[in-house]
Amino acid sequence: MTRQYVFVIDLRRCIGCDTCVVGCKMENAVPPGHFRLKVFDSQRNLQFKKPVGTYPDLDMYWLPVMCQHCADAPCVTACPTRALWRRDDDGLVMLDKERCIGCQRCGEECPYDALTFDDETGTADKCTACEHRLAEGLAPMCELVCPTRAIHFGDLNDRDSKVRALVDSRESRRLNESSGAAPQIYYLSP
Amino acid sequence: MTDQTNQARQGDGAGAPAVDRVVRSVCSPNCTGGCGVNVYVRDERIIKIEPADFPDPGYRRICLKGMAMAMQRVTHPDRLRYPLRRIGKRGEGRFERISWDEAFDFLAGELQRVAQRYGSEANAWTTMTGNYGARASMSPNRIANCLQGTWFTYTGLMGDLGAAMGFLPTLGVSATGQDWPDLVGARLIIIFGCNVATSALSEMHFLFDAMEAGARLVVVDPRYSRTASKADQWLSLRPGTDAALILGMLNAILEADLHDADYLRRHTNAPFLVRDDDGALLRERDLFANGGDGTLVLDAERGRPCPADDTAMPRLRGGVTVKLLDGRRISCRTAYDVMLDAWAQYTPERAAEICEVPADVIRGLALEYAQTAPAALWIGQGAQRYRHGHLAFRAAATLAAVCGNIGKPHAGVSWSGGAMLRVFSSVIFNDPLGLLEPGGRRARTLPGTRMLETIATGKPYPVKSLWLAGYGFGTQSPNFDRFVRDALPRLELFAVTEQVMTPAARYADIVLPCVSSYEDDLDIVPGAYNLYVQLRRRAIAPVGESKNDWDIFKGVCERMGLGEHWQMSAETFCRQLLEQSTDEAVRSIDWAELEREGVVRLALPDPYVPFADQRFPTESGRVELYTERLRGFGQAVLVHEEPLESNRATRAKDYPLTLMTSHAMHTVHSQHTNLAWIRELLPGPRLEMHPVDAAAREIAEGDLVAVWNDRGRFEVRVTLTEAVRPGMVNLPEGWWPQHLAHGHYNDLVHVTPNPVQDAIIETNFPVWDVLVEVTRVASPPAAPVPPEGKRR
Repeated sequence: MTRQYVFVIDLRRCIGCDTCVVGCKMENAVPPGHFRLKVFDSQRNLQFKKPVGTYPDLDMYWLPVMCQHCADAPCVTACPTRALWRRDDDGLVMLDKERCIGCQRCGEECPYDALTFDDETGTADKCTACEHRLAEGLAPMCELVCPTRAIHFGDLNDRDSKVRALVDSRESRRLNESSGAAPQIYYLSP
Repeated sequence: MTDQTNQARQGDGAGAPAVDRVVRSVCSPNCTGGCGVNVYVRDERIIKIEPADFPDPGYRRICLKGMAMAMQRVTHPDRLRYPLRRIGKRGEGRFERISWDEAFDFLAGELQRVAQRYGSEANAWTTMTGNYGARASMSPNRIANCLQGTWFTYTGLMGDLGAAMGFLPTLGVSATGQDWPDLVGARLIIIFGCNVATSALSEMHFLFDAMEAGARLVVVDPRYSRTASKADQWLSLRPGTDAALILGMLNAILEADLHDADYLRRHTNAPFLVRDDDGALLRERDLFANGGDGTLVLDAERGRPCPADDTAMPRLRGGVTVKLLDGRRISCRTAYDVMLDAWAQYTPERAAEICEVPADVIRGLALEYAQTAPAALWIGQGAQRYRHGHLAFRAAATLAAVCGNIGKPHAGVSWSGGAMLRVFSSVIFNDPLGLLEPGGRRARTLPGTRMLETIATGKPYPVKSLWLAGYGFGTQSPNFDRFVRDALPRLELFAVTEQVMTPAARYADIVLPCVSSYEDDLDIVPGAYNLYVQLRRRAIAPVGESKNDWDIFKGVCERMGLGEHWQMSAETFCRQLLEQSTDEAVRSIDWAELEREGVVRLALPDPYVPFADQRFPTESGRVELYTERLRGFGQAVLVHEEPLESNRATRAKDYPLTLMTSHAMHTVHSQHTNLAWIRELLPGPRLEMHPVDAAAREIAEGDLVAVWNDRGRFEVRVTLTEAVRPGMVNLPEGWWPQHLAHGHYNDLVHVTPNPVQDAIIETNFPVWDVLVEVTRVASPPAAPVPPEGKRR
C-alpha cells in the first residue's frame, strides 16, 4: 500500500500561539507578508482573535490552516502548466516553482486559500509539508516546533502511526469537505 | 575555550547551503521557558534555530518569540553597534559615536567625580530581567558592590514580589513548585491568575498531558484567557479578589468538616497557642523563668500547655488561661480557633458578594477540592498585581495546607519554583569567592520601588548617577514620565546598557551597546520554572562593537583601579557559581556533564515534590498559617483586602474601570514588539473592552480611545470582546511609547508604599491596582494599523 501523508491537528491542544506560523516562515524563508500556514479563530480572524458567545458562556478555538494536500486537488486540475501535482507515492500536493507562470488560477480554485503569490512575479508558494526535511527523515517544521504537541504528521496508511491512532480514536473533521477536494488534513475536535 | 560545536552539516532548508556549525545555546530573554536551542550558523549569522534535546523530551521546545528574536532581533537594523554619547538635550535622541576607550574614560571620570562629591553610594545601579544568563544578570549588582555604590532592588519594581511575600511567611520559601510533569496524575488542577497558555506557553502541553490523563482543569481569572478557554471550568472573578474566593472555599471546607485535622496538627502552626491580649504566640519564656522561644500547644489528654515539639497530636481547638511570669493571667486559644473565628465571615455567600462568582460555584469547587486526591493548586503572577496581592498567594498555600495537600505527588501549591531561585539565592547568602561581592565589597541596598522618589528627593541620601542594564525601563517601569520629569534632572549621569535605542536609552547621557545572548560569553541559565541548569554558549560573534555586561563593567572598573576584581573567566565564574553553592542539589551538578550535554537537572528526585519531608524553612519548621509578625497589620490571620483602587472604592465614581495590562502571547514584555514576524501577527496595541462598557461610552470596534486617570493618559485603539468582564479593560502589554497615539499606560499606575509588604520584604509594584476611565477621541480611520504616534 502506498503512503498517505496527512497532518492531524488537535484543536483541543492548539492554543493559537502562531509558533507554527513563524516556524514555517523561518524554515521555508517565506517572504514578509506571505504565509504558507495561517492560524484563524473560529470567526476566521487572523489578528485580535476573540471567543464566541456571551460573557461568561464563551467558547474559543483556533484553526491552523495550510495546504490541505487534497486527494482530488482543484489546484492541480486548474494548473495549466502542471506546476502543481499530487505525488503518487505519498499523496502530497507539490509545486514546481520553475514551471509556475503566475496565472494564479490555483489560488482561485483552492477552497482553503492555501496558496500565496509572489508580489512581483505572481508565482505560487504553498506548504510542501517541508518535503526537504522529510527527505532527511525529519519532521515538518510546524510539527517540530508546536509547543503544545497539537500538530502530528505521518502516514495514515500505516496502522502503527500516531496519526492513524489519533484519527481512529478521536472525533475529527476535515475542512469544507463538501468541496469534493478530499482534503488530507484532519482536525481533531476541540 | 568551551565553545562546543557540532560538525558543520548540510543545511536542511530547500537548497540551503551548508551551515558552518550548530551550537547548543539557550533562548533566555525574560521568559520562564528557558528553551534549549540548536543555533544553525552560517557566515557568523544565525540562519535558524531548532529545539535542542533535553533529558525530558517534554522540555524540547521553542516558540514564535524565540525564533523571531534569534532571526530578527539579533541583527535588527536598530541594533546598537558602538558606544554613543549624548550631544543634544536629554531625550532629544542626538548622539555621537565614540570609542570604547572614550566611553570607559567618560564613565570612570563621571563615577569618580560623583563619588568624590557625594560619596560612592551616590552612584547607583539596577537591572531587570532582560537577560537570564546568571553572569550577565548578576553583573550590574556586582559593579554596584565593587564600587560600593547603591543597588536598587528590582523584584518589587518588577511587580513580582507579592507572590514571594505570600509564600515566604507561610511556607518559608519565596517560590516553590511541583515539577510540571508531576501534574500528570492529578485529578483536579486549579489555576489562579496564571495564563499558562500565553505567558508560559511552552509548559501548556504538560497541562494537556494531565487533562488527557484524567485531570479536571479549573481556571480562576477575570479574563477568558487562552488557558481559561481550555479549562473544564472558568471562574471569572472581580480583579484582585483571589484571596476572598479562597477564603470562601476555606469556609465551606471547614463548615463541611473536610479539612485535614491530622495534617494541621502535625505540620502547621494551627495548634499553637495565641495570646488573646496581644495576638502573639504563647512562648515558654512567658511561663517559665528559664523558658526559651519555644511555642506551646494544648496536649491531647489534659488540654494543658506543653511545648509544641513534645506532642505529635496536640489539640486543634480549645483555650486555656495561663499565669504569666509577672503574675498576670491571660487567656489563650489555638491559632486554629483564632482563624476559624476570623474566617467565619467569609461564607461562600459573602465571598460571592466580594468576588462576583456565584456562591454555589465557590462551595462546589471547595468541596470538590477537599474531596479529590490528588489535587494541585497553581497560582501565577496575575493574582499579585494588586495592593495586597501577597494575600492571594498566602491564601493558596493556606488552602493546600488545610486540606493536607502539601508535599504530595500531583498535588501541592505551586508558583514558579525552578532552578533559578536555588542557584541565585545561595550566592546571595554565601559568596566566599566574590562572585557577587568582589573582594567582599558591598553596595548599599535601597528598594527599587522607591528609586524615583529617592533620586527626586535626595532622601535618604543623594543618588546622582544611575546606570541601567538589562531593563526596558522606558516601557516597563512604573511612571517613567515622572522619572523623566522629577528624577532625571537630579541625575548628573544617566547611563544605559542596551541592545537597541529603547525609550529609556534615548534619555541617557551615554548608551553602551550590549550583545544579545547569542553573542555573549559562556553563561549558565538556570530554569525559572523548571529544575534544569543549561550552559549558554556563544553562537555568533558580537554584532558591531557590542560587548557583554561583564566586559562593559570590567572596562570601567579597570580605569578606576579595581580591574583585579573582573579578571575571572566566564567559565570560572559559571563553574564556581555552581560549585560554591550551599544547595546540595546545585553543587552536585557535574561540570563535565554540563559541558558535554549542555543541560543537567538539579540533583533532586524526579519528579520533584517540594516539602515531601514536611519540613519547612520557617521559624517553627511548619507551615505557618498564623503569621505572628504581621499581627500589627491585621494580617496575622489570612484576610481579604480590597485593592487600593478597588472598583468599589469612592474613586471608582470618577474612574470606574480596572486597567489590566496582561502579558501578550506574541511578545515577552517589550522585547519582541519591533520584530517583523511578530508585527505581521500582532499589528499594534488593542485595548480589550467589553461591549457593555463600550456601548455605555459610545465606543465602537476600532475606535481610538483615551484611557486616563489623574496620573496620566494614553491613547490606543479598542477592540470589543466578551473575553474581558464588564468593569475592566485589558491592554496586552509590551508596547513602546511610539506605538501608542499618545502617552503610555505605565503613566497611569502608582507605587503607593504598603507598610505590611514593607514589613515582609518590600512594597510590590501593584501593576493592575489601577482605575481608569475610557473615552472615545476619534472615529476609526481607514487604515487598520494605527499610525506611528509621536515619540517621546
